[in-house]
Order: sequence, then structure tokens, then C-alpha cells
Amino acid sequence: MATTKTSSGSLRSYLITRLLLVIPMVWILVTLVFFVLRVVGNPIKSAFGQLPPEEIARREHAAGLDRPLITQYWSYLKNVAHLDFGVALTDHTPISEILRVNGAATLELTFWAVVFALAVGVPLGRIAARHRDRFPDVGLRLFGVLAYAIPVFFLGLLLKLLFSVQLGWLPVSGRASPEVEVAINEVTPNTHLYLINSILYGDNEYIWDVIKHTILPAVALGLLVAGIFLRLVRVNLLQTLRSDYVEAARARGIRERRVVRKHAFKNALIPVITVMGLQIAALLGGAVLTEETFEWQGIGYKLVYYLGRQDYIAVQGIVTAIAVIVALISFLIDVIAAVIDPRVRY
Amino acid sequence: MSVNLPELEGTETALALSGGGRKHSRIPGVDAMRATAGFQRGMLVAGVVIVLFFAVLALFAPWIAPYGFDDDRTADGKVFGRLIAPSSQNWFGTTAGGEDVFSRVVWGAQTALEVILLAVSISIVVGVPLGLVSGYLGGWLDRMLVLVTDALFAFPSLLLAIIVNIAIVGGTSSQVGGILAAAISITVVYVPQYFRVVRNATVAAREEPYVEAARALGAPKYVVMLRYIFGNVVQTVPVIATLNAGDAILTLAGLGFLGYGIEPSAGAEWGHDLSRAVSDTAAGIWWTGLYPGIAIVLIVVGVTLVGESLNDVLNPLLRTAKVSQVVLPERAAEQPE
Repeated sequence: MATTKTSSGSLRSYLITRLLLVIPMVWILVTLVFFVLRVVGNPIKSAFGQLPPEEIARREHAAGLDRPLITQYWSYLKNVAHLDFGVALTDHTPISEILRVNGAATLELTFWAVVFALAVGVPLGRIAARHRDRFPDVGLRLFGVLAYAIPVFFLGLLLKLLFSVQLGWLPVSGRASPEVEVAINEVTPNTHLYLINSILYGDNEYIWDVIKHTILPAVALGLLVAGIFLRLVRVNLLQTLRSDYVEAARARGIRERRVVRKHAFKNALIPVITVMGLQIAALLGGAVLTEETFEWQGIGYKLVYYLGRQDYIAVQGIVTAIAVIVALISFLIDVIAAVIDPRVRY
Repeated sequence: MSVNLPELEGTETALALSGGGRKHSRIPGVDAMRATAGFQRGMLVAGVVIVLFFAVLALFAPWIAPYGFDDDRTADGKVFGRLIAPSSQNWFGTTAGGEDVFSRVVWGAQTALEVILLAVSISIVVGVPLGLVSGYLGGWLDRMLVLVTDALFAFPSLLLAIIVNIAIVGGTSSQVGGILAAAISITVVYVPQYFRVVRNATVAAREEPYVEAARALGAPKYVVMLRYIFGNVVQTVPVIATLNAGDAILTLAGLGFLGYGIEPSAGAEWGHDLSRAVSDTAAGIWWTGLYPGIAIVLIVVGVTLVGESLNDVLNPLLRTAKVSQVVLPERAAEQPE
């Protein structure tokens, strides 16, 4: 999405054009999701198929679902513009509430996953590029392929089998033990971020409990992203190592290790940042599967829950919210890339 | 006298792929094989072997699998029992539903292959022409399509596939319907990719002198597109198709894991089996999840290795130098220094 044309290359005009692109992107996704989900038919009917027809008709009317589709669509668009994503049909939870409570869980999970991925993927990618086609590179490339090929839910299952069932070191699922969960949800302010909550609560054992619950899900999701980072860093560093200025550095007799560290590595990371923006979708898609595997009560877990109950109003709301989040994050990352690298602005 | 000349890197590759100057094979893949060396060739061969293995498994599933995918007893009516550990009767054990895990893994290969072939074919058939027309004609339609594909790109593909799957299925559960529905749901994710690649290549090719010449000769638009541009912009499609196939298997498994895609009664699907296995793991039962999981990993690794090596060969920036032994003619003894 860095191909936006602006008459001048200034940062400001780039940002404005890029921001304006967020709106059609979200609009397209909202429209798509709205109409595709309505193809199935009436949301009330799918959620409460067992009720008598009069009751369904009454609820339809109450929810405004008996209006013409285009009227519903228009009012839905207006609501989304005000960041109002609706209320679940089955249990009347507002989607904004789900975003606040379960969103915190997803944020916690994805944050640690990205930290793990950066800590593992970037250095390994650098090693692979540095030793191109020799043993470390071969091994790491196979690792990269494997990390990509292994579905998060299978990796999660293996991790559980090893660390929870066999060794008994880590818990099987959830975000914290039940009694810990009850206790740390009573702190004020309740951030719904369990690590912060448990620190606020101030019991070391509770903090450790939360950390123990986080390790396996974060590693499962993080490894998927680490594989992507490894490949990105490797390819970009390889291309940078071929450029003339790096060759010039070598020609001056600088040792290869120093060439990689001082001259090539930082420049090779710039395109990686841009591409990382595109991985947000992969990260969130992976989060849905990870949350389902570890019963981690995040947005993805909730989404699957409502999918199972055929509550398509809730599904529509959550998916729309995810679209908004994805668009905003990729905007932010593009901004960061533009600030770092002037070439992106054109 | 023989010396290594690293400067000659890629010459061989360029020749093998350009088709000019050197004899070039009509058998697909042979040129690519010739262009690789060392580790890259190893990757390609390993990938091809794995993919062929699964293809055989899928094609001959009725003969390889000892039981049907949802049989819970032998042909003479002996019930397996639930969650039985691997034994001589059930090599990979049995599931919570009492089915033979080995048979389900074998039948799962067939499901995966069918869905992937369908999904990739549909994606190409829809995406390539769309990209060609959109890129060549340009205008508001082109801009609109680019915006839509950008939006689809940025969105988690699994969620997209789920939503489309909900819309398509709406109650059908016959096997063909299940496989077709799963394939179409996956297609939504990949059409944008073919569209973007072909469209961008078309936009670049549109201004080339040979296309200009065709236009100047009065060739109608469709002739320019089909005869002149098409052949030059589809070259990257096989690589994308291979890489997508691996991704599509993961998407199918993800759909199955979340309870979408293939109906359990319609066919064996690895992702679905894994979702059932999650609850078994807490009790220390490993065989219900391990084998379908390994199957997914293996086939995706195989497909990815093929795609990656093809990509390496076709992308000159990544191509490994193939160092050739060059034999120089004997130097004349009295040559001046």
C-alpha cells in the first residue's frame, strides 16, 4: 500500500493520502461482511430457529431487521462510523464490551507473541543471511519452512502434550487459574490485562500464575510469526548485502562481520517493517486459532463462540471491529515506515 | 587447466530459462531442476517427493486405507472401541468416535488434494483473466478492483473464508457440496493474489513496444490481451499457485479446526480431527492429534519446498550462484606476459 501517488513527496501529504485510504478499506470490508452474512438469511432465524414464527417476527421487528436491507445497511454504516458495532442477539452483550474485555486478552496474547517472534525471528534471519547456503542457513531455512507449515493449533497441541501433560510444568489452558482470575478481576482500575492486573494486586504467586498461563499460547502464536520474520529478514539482508555500498565497504577491507552489523543490517530492516504491517492479518488470524486451542478468552475465542451459536449479528460486529483494528494498525505501521524511510513517501 | 569462475553465476540459469541458445526441455520442471544446484536442488527434490507421496496416498486411498473414513468396526463387524492406543489392528489408534486414525489420515489426503486442486484452479480461472482485463483497460473498474483486493489482503484470510463458507453452505452437507463449498471459500482468499500479480504485470507490459506495435497494426483489444500480453504475464502464476497450495491446505485445516469446511460425515479432514483431539490431550491421549497434525505439516512442507525453490530459481535476486568448472584452452607456451 506504499504505492500511493502524491504530487509532492512530503510526509504530511503522504500521511493524509494514506489515512484517506483507511476509509474505503474499512467500508469495503464492512459492506462485504454485511451482505455476505445476510445471504444466509435472517439473523434472528439462524440464532433462534427453535422459537415459534410469531416470536421470531416480533424479535425481528424489535431489532429493526424487518426493514428493507438497504435501510439496515445504511443505519449499520452510520453506527460503525460512530464505532458502535451493535449488540449480540443471543446474550445481549454489546460488541464494544467484548472489545474492551476480550480485546485486552487478545492484545496481551499478540503482544507477547510478537515479542517472542522479534526476539527469535530477527536474529535468526540475520544469522541465516550471514552464512548463506552453509549449514546454519540450511538449518534455519528449514526451520522457517517448518514454522510456517505447522498450524498453530497443532503446535499448541504438541506443546500442551509435552509441557502440560508429560512434564506438568505449565497449565493446559486459560489465562489464569480460576481463583486467581476472580481475585485479579477485582482490582481497580481493571485493565483486563491480566499481567498488569496481577501486578496491581501485588501477589507474586498470582503474577507467576498469569505468566505460566501465557507462555504456551504466546510461543505457539509467536513461532508462526517468527518464521515469517526470519524469512523476511534473511531475504532483505541478502539483497542488501549485494548492494554497491556494501560491496564498497568490503572493498575497503572491513571485515564481513562488521559489514553486516554496521552497514547492512539496519538498512535491511527498513523494508521488513513495511512488510510486517501486512502480517497483522496473519497475526490476528493465528490468534483466533490460538485462542480456540488454549481457551484463551480473547476476541477470536468470542468470535468462534458466536459462530457456533449462529449469532450472526455478533459475528458481523466482531468481524467489522477486527477490520477497523487491522486498518488502523496497518496505517500506523505505514506511518512508522514513512518516518524512518523517506523513499516510502512517494 | 581448470578454474572456478564465480562471475559466471546465473549464466546457466539464464540460458536454461530463456530457452534461447540452449536446448530446453518440454517436460515441465526439468528446466527448473537444471537451474538449481546443491541445497536448492535438494529442497526441490525433497518437496517433489513429499508431494508425490501424498498424491499417491490420495489417489489410492481406497486401497491403502484399511477401513472407511467413518467406519468404527472391521468389515466383519468387530467394533474397534473408543480411544484405543495404536495396535496391530489400528496402527494409529482410534478416535473418541471409535474410528481408525490411520484410515482417517489417508482419506484426509484425498480430501485435501481435492479441495486444493479445486481451489487453486478456480482462483486462477477467475483471478488471471480479471487481472488481465483490469490491467489492460484500466479506468475506474481497475481502481475499484485494486482497492477491493487491497482491503481483502489486509484482512485475516481465515475469517474471510469462514464468512464465505457460512454464506455458501446454508445447510448442504453432501460430499461434493462440502468439498466444493470449502474450495470456493478458500478461493476468496487467493483470487486477489492472482489478480494483483497479473494486473501489475499487465500494466507494465501495456506500454512495451511490442504491444504498441500490435496496437498500431490494428489488433483488437482482446487479441492484444490474449496473443501478446497473456503469455508474458502468466509466467509467475505457477510459482504463486504452488505457494498458495500450501497456504490453502493450512486454511482448509483452520476452517476444519473451527468447525467449518468439510462436514464430518462427508469426508475425513485433518483440521477437524485435530479440533476433536484438543480435548483428548488433557488426558494424555496423543495419537488422535499427532498423526493428522504430522500429515498437515508434511504436505505443507513439501508444497512449500517446491514453491520456494521455484521462486528462488525464477527470482534472480535470490538465485544461488552455480559455480561452473570452466576448462580454459591450453596457453601457448611463449605468450608474452
